[in-house]
Amino acid sequence: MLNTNTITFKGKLTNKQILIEQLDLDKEATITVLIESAYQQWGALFNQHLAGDYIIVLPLAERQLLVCLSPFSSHQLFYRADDNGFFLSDNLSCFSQGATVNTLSINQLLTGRTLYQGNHLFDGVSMLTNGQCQIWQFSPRLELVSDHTLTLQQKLNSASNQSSEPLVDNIANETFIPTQAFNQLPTLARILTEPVSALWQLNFLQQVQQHTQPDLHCQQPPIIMQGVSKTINSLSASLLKRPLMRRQSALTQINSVLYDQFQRELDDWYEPNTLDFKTWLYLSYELGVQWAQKRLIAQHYDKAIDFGFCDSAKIKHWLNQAPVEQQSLTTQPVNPLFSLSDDSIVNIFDAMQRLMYHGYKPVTEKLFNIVPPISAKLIKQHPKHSSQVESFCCLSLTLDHLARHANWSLI
Amino acid sequence: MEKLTFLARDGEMLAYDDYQLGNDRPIVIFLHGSTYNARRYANLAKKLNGDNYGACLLNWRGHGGSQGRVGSVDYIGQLEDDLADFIHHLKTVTHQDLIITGHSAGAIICLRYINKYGCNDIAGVSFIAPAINGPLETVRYPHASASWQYRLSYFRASKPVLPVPPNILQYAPSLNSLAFFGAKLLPFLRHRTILTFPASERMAKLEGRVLNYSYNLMLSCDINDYPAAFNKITVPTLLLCGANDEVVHPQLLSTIFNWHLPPSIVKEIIELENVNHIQVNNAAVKLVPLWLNRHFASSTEQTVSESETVAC
Repeated sequence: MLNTNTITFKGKLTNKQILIEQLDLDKEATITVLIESAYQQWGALFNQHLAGDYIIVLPLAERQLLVCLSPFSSHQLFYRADDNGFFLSDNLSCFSQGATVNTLSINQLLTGRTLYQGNHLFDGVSMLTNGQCQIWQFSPRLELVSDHTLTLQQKLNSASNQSSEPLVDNIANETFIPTQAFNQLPTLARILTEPVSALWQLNFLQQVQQHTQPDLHCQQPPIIMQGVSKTINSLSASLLKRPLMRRQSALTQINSVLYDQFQRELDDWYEPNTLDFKTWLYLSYELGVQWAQKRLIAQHYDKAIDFGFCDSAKIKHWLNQAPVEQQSLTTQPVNPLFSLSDDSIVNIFDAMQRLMYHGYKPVTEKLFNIVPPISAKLIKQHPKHSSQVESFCCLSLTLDHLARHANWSLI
Repeated sequence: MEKLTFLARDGEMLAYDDYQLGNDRPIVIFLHGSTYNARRYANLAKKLNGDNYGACLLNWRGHGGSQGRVGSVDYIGQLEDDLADFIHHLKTVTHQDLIITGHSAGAIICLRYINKYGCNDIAGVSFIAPAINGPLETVRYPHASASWQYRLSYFRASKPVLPVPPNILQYAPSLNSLAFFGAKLLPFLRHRTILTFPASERMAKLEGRVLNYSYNLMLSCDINDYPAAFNKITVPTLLLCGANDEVVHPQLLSTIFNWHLPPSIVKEIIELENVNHIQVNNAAVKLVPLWLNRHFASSTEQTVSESETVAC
């Protein structure tokens, strides 16, 4: 957990010299002085002026606390505010033990989307979005007194990195080793503190494992994650049990709320643009989560990582340069990662079907109907819909693993 | 070494080779593999003694010097009850930590013990080439009938079952399928031989091996719900196996290690190149004491030094 009584800055600030000049500070001013001065100068919108990739926790006068994320950030902030107090962490694992899983979030993961604002994995645990800044009042009672999230337009026009030598991407496309992948899934799920739902996560894990240098420079431009073309339930009816089926309308509601937000932002947009909803959603919510997951994987193997595109100017340039069609590449691999002919002990499809006999503890039991005749129907569609079938197997298996060992339950 | 006995809950006297040292270090309770007895594992006990660990090599009932029906047990699960009785017996005479260890089917008895009794009375467990033969996926060389078993389990066609290499086949026990299904249906047949291990009768007699197993005995040293059993482990755990093991699938221990052992426990996995199911015992003689030194020696020494500080 992060200490809420002291100022915390994690990450990097990339326009320090400009800020010192703007705020008329001493050349040797510390980050603490700089952050406090920036807040005094610009108030809750101060993260628009601070370029970089960071989280800030800033105690204020009168028992208030400010928490914020940079406009584009590979860091995350999770909090729980209830009768027991205010708990803040930059890692979801702090809230994992004995957590109650939000069924809606599993639904969202099943559609191939990442989890973002308003719908996180654990009930009662919220997450800050990139560019969000909140102020909490601790006494006389705990309440949220200010909550402001930068619009995508504000993020794109926020302060950008001071010019520096661009680093060369050193995360090469290492060979994916499918035989090792099955037994890497539990580790990956524990690193992410969420079920493995996208196959790029597994790919990236192996890239980091095979990497020999301590610093990773990720210069890959944003790749928009595609939702799945067919739902799992349409591939094998009755696979999802009632709690998941019931929440599908809620998922549609979330999407319509987000679409309304997109329309409102678009109405206020003062520059000509061809932004579509998918790109807006990706840049506003999903990109940061993807980066954060990559950061968690790198950190697990004691490697530092930086993201070249974690900069407003670069994202803006990327957005203006390439037609939307060219950016909309899928992150799901084209070729299957797993084979039906793998030995049964490391065969992801067999293992998913075995959930019925083994594992299969409260959470998965209530969500999935993995009886062999039903799950076999899904697996038989692997040649046509490989990434969907594989994603479902990964998700159900790792959800069961996490739920079993961290004692999760369902609402 | 002393040859001692203890009283099991059914009144039978079960034998063990006692290598206790009378110091404060943990005692390793070792369970032999199927057909064998404690005598074969004396090297491990001697090496453990050399590293100042006590050891007790337990003979399964009906094996070695233990009483009991040869080649059968009264009910499925009696062997883990015997282990529980032995642990209870040791707890009444010593305060030292107890580590349970087993080779092959002996490792499965340790696992069944944990599944039934938990880890409250033990401080650690090591599994040497655990022979989990019940489930379809854990077997290294599936039986010819595996294809239809696979179809029944998964509702899909399996990949072709490859023939077992002849050099492996000569050591593999032969199962009388008819007798097996007969015993499954008719309980009064469950003491009859259904499994026969290949070995020279004369050599087996000299070594005190038991070559014929009943339905009850065969199922007492096997486990189907192994994931749940491994989930229950709460103490430091060692998984040890040879890459050329003829019984254990080469990926089994890695799968158990990653998927089924709780992430929170202290656990180690050691896979040895060019080592088979029997040769792994020679490696265990070196590796088990080293594992104990890594996880138990320091805590004992720390306890001693702390108590010395208090005494000062």
